[in-house]
Amino acid sequence: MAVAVAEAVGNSDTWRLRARPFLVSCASLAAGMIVWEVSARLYFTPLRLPPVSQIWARAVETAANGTLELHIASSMFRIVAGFCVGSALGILVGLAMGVVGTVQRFLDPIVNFLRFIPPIAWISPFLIWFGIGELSKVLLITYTVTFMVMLNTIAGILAIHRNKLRVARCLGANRLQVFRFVIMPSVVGYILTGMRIGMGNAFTTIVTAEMIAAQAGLGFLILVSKNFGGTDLIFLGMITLGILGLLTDRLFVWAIDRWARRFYLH
Amino acid sequence: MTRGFVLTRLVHVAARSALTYALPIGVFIVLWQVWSDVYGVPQLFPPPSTTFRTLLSMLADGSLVRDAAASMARIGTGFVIGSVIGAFLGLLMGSSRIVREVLDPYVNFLRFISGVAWISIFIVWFGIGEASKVVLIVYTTVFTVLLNTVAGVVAVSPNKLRAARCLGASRRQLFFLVTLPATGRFILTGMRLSMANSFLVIVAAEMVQADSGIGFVIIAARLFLAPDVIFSGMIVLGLLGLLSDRLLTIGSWLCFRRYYLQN
Repeated sequence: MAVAVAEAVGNSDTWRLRARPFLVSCASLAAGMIVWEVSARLYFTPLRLPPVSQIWARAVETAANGTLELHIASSMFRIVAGFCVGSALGILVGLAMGVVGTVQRFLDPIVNFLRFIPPIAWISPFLIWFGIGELSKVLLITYTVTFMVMLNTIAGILAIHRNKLRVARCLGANRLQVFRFVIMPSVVGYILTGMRIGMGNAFTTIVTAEMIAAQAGLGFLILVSKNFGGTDLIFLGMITLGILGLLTDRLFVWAIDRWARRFYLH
Repeated sequence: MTRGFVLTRLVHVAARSALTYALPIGVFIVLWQVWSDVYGVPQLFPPPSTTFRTLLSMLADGSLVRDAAASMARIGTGFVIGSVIGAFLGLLMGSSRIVREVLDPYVNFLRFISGVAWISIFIVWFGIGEASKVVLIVYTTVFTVLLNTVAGVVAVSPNKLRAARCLGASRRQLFFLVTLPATGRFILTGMRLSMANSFLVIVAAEMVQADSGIGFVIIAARLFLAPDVIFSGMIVLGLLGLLSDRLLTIGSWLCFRRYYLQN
């Protein structure tokens, strides 16, 4: 079979680098699922470890009656809203800090301290200040993303080679032109990387926020299912989260590759 | 060098660090005070003075130290176990192609399920005690350390491996004398990143289910509407995070300094 596949894909390099890892991955996943299914049926109660088939049945059931979609939609709305606002804020503050030396020197110690307070810790004050509605959750995501994007933007500006700036100045560029034609193109890659990491962190933050105060969302589903022994629903929530995280990340990478590739070639 | 010169240097350094640190922090505290005054309800947005008084009293009666110790014990235990497992699996995945190909899909999927999402299931499996929280930290630590270790093994320059082999090193010597030391720095970077994640996850876990720890302090204080206690908890959390990060950075520099010089 291996030979046939190798011939089908054309040359042995493609086989070695692409087809083989893919086949091994599929086989490994399939084996893992079978081990899970069998051991769950033989050794565990569904309360401890539900078999894969049961989780799948639950997925079909909740998708049919619309509850799964509701949870996904509420979580994704919070993430996307916070992500957009947070990215915009992070880019603005990051650029200001990176370009204007005084601002950077001034904010640096504060940023360096706040960086070590996990965004989740802000949930208590946010709940007190902004209530238990959507606003506090969206703001929490905004805070998470802003920080990541800002730190990466600053790192990007600091990474620009001094000679590039000097060359531009020597050739007569004014400050605005230096910013537009030298700083911006070199920083875009870092900003996008920051946004990608920020999106990943947003998924962590939203789960906790929804566990502590929400009426819908995947984090809410995971926590509430524990209270009435729905282990299969917990797993469903976790797997959905993983798939959503994986999909958004891949979408991001694809979009970068499609439209922003040139910013990474330097 | 005269003594006077050293003294002037010292004064300069002290003055500069006072300017670069004390001034922004001073302004930050003033802004905090002003903002809190403008907000107008000190019960909901306490000024820095109230917060620091609360912080001091919590330090004095030992409750804050006890909670910080509880959190740090969970992080410490999970972090050490997780780092060992992560480094071991990472070295294995980095050195053996078949292991890498078999484990790759799991690692790539599981790393998108953050530790926080596992809280419920770990409570079902390991109970509401310490075990579930430690396992949570182990899980969080393993992935970051593992991914960084694999990156480190892959980054070992082939010429170094070839050179060692030309000089007659066996496979075992190759691993212990070339790959392992060159990967150490990457393992420590992974540990540093996962230390930050550990703080995040333990706070979340303690908020959801615990009766001690900084996360518990922060969430319980919300119910009693005591933002000064929340802020105190957050300040301690930030300080602990900063401290552990600096310790790991310094440790990494001390142990693997000579591998930093190569690039």
